[in-house]
Amino acid sequence: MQTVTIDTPDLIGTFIGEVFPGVISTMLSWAAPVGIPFQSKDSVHSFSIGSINGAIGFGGQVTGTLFFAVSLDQAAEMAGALLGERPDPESRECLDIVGELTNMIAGGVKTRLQNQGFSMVMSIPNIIRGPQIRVAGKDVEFKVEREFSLGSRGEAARIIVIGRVSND
Amino acid sequence: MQFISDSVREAVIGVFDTMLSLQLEALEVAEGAALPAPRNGGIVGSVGMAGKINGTVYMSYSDQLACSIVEKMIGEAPKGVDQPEVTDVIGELANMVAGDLKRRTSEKGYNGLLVPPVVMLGNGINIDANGAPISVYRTFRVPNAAEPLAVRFFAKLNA
Repeated sequence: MQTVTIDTPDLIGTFIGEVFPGVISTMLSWAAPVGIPFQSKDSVHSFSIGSINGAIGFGGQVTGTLFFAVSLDQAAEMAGALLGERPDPESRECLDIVGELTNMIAGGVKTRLQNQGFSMVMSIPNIIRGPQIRVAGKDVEFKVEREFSLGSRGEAARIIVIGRVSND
Repeated sequence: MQFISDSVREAVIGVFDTMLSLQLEALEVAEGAALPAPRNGGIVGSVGMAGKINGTVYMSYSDQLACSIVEKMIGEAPKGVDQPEVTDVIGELANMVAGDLKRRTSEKGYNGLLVPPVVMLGNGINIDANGAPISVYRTFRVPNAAEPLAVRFFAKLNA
């Protein structure tokens, strides 16, 4: 069993950077998205998410929630890449693609953490929609956030992981 | 999955009775395809679980309902729904309901690890099951409150 160190959030950030471009290029046949350097001003206790968000929980030595936050336009463009025709941003197809990508991103990060010796289990994704949603994480210690340029307009898509580590 | 729906009802009623001495009354119940369109919620407390049971419980409150519950718990009216004491209480209630629910599903052979609580604020928060095999929706009348508490549980059982 892996001993969790203070560097675990950095490890999660690195793994997001490895997983996300591959998931997007494989699933959507798009060029691998490029990471956007940024400094988040939000804290783990109050941060914003997108208009459409996949959310998936995970438990074990690393426990918390991963959010894949995109705009309505990005969701429609991603669904259009799969379907060949851009659907309505509020359609089932848009929710499905966000959910599926969330599952793949979280699964990729989890597999890499498990390969490092971390014991973890992952839940199933739900979709959270709405304008200007703010999130407060409770009983968590870290927030890892990565931004990537995604879609034809180069908008930022965000992957946010909040959680805590345990050596239990 | 009647036992899941029953467990959600019993967990919510039990936690509110224990923590707040509030006797909630179960109102609407729906499952699966009958799941009604989500209502707009001012604040949502959620806790996930992962293991033999994978899922998340979401508890949706209007701003007014959330503030009245927090006032009952801490003895002082909060200044607004975005205050830390409100998100703390809403997160803790979700944590306790999920913990009770987990205990009940564990007794049926479906154990899971709890995920730390997440609290969401906003006008029109819409939560979609994303095809989860188990979708339970329940509402509860809270004494002296105009609007009900709405609880959703989206889950999948692993053999």
